[in-house]
Amino acid sequence: MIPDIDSLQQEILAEFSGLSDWEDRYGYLIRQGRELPSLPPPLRTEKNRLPGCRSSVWMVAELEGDQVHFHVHSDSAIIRGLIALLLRVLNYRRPEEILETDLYFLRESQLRSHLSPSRAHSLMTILNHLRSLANELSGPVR
Amino acid sequence: MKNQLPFPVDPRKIRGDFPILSRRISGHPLVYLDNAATTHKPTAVLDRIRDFYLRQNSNIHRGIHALGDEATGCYEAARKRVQQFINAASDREVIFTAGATDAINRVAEMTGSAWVQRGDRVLVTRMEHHSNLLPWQDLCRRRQAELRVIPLDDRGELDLEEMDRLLDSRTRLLAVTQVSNVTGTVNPVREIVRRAHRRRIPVLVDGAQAVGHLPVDVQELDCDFYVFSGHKMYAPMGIGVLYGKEQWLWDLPPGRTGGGIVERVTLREATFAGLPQKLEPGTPNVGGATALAAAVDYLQNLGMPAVAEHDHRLLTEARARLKAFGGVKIYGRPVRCCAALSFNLDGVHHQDAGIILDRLGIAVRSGFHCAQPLMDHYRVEGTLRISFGVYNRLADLDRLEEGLYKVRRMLGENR
Repeated sequence: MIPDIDSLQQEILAEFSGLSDWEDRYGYLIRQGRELPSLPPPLRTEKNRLPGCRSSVWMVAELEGDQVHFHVHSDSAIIRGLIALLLRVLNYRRPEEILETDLYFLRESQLRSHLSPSRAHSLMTILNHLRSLANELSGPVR
Repeated sequence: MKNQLPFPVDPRKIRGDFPILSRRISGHPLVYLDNAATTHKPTAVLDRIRDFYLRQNSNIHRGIHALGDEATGCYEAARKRVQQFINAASDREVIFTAGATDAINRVAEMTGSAWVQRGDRVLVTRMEHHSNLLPWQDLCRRRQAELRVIPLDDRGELDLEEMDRLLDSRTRLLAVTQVSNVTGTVNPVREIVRRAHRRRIPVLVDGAQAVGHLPVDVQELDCDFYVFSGHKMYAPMGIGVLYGKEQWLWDLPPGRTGGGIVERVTLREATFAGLPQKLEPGTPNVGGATALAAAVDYLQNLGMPAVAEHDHRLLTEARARLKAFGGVKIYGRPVRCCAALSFNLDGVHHQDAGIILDRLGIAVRSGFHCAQPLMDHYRVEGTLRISFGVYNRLADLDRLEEGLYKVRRMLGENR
C-alpha cells in the first residue's frame, strides 16, 4: 500500500525545507530523477511525445485495476526530477484522484519560483498532460 | 599559449560602452555568450535612437516641414552608410526591412511568381536557419516547385560537388547562409556564387551571422541578394537590410504594396516609384535605421578586420579549451569558422547544462538553434552554443570552464 497523497506531499515539503541554496535544490531534483523508472526507448515515439516542451518528454499511461500507472521519460535530468516529484504523489492513483488532487507542495515548496519561467511552464505542461491522460482513462467522456 | 599577443579589440576599453554587461545574474557578474542570438547595444547606438525620437521624429518623404526633411535626411544618410558598409554599388540597392527573416520573405514574395513556375527548383542547404528554409518551402508549395537541398560532408562543410549536380536548368534560385548559426562554418560564398552564375542562377546570401564578425563586400561576393539583421551587429531589434542588385530590384514586382511607393495611383492601377521607395511600403523604421548607421559607425571605428580577428582568437581558444576539457563533442570541423561554436558534454543534456550555467550568470544558448535539419544531420536533439561579441574576453572563457566543471560535477555521472 503506498502512502496517502497528503503524507507524501508533507514528506516532499520536509525534504525541500532542508535544502539551502539552488545547488542543493537542483542536486535534489537530479537525484529524484534517478529514481524515476525509465520509459523503454521503443515507446519513445512521436505519438507519446509531449507537445510544447522544450526538452523531449515521452509519456504513457495505463490502467492497472482502477489505478493509473504512468511511464515517463525525459532526456533532461532536471526535467526528469520534476516528473519524479509529480509521480511520487500521482502515480498509482485512481483517475479522479489525479484530476482532483491539489498539489499544494508545488506552491509551498516555492519550487516554481526556483525554476526559470520556461522550466516552470514545462512543469505545468507535464502536469496537465498527466491529468489529461488520467482523464482519458477515467471512462467515457463526461 | 594564451594571451601572447594583445587582442586587436581591447574589451577593457569598450565594455563600458555596454551598460548591460555590468548586470549581475543570480548574484554573479553576467558572462554573455549568446551573441549569435542577439548582441548588446552600445550607448552610442542607444543615444542615436533616443536622439531621433527626441529631436527629429517625423514621417519621411512626405511632408514639406523641417522635421520631415531632417528625418528624411537621417534615413537616407543611414542608407548610404549601410551601402558603404557592405560596399553596394548604389544606395538604391539597400532596402530597409524588419530584419533578415523579413528580407528573405520579401525576396520569396518578389521572385515567387516572377521566377518560379511549376516544376522549377529552388536550392537551399542542409545548414540553413529555419528563416532561410521555411520561406522557400512555402514558395515551392505555392508554385508547385521542388525544394532541393545541398548536403554536408563529414566535416560539416557544404558538398560542392553535389551542389554542381543540383544546379540544373530548372533551378531558379540558390539560397545559402554565409555563416552557419550553429557550427560557425564560413561557406565559400564567392565560389558558390561563381558556380551558380555560370548556369545563370541567382544567389541569395543570408548574412545574419556574418555582418557583425567579418568584413562584407557584396560586389566582391557578386551575390544577387544579401540579407542581414541589425540586432546581431549591435543595432536595435526590428531593423534589417535587403541588398539586391539594382537590375533585379527594378525588374521584380514589389511583392508588398502600400503608401509611399508609387508615382501615381488611380482606383484601378498604380505606377510604382523608383528604387528604393518602390520596395519600402508604409512608414519605415526610421529610428532603427539611424541606429543601425550608428552601429556601423561603432564597428568601423573598431575596424572590421580587428573585429574579425578578435572573434577568431576567442573561437580558436574556446575550441582548444573545450578539447582539453575532455568528454566534449564539438559539432563540425569547419575549414574556416566565425561567430559560433556548438558542443555537448558527454552524458549531459544540453538543456540541463544551460540551466546550471544560467544559475552561474553565464548566458549560452541550448536547443536546436532554429536549424533542425542540421541537428538531424548530426543526429542530435540539441546542443549548447557559445558565440562571441566584441566585448567578450578570455576571462569569459575562464568562467565558462568553471561553469562546465560544475555542470559535470552535478550531472556528469548521470548517464
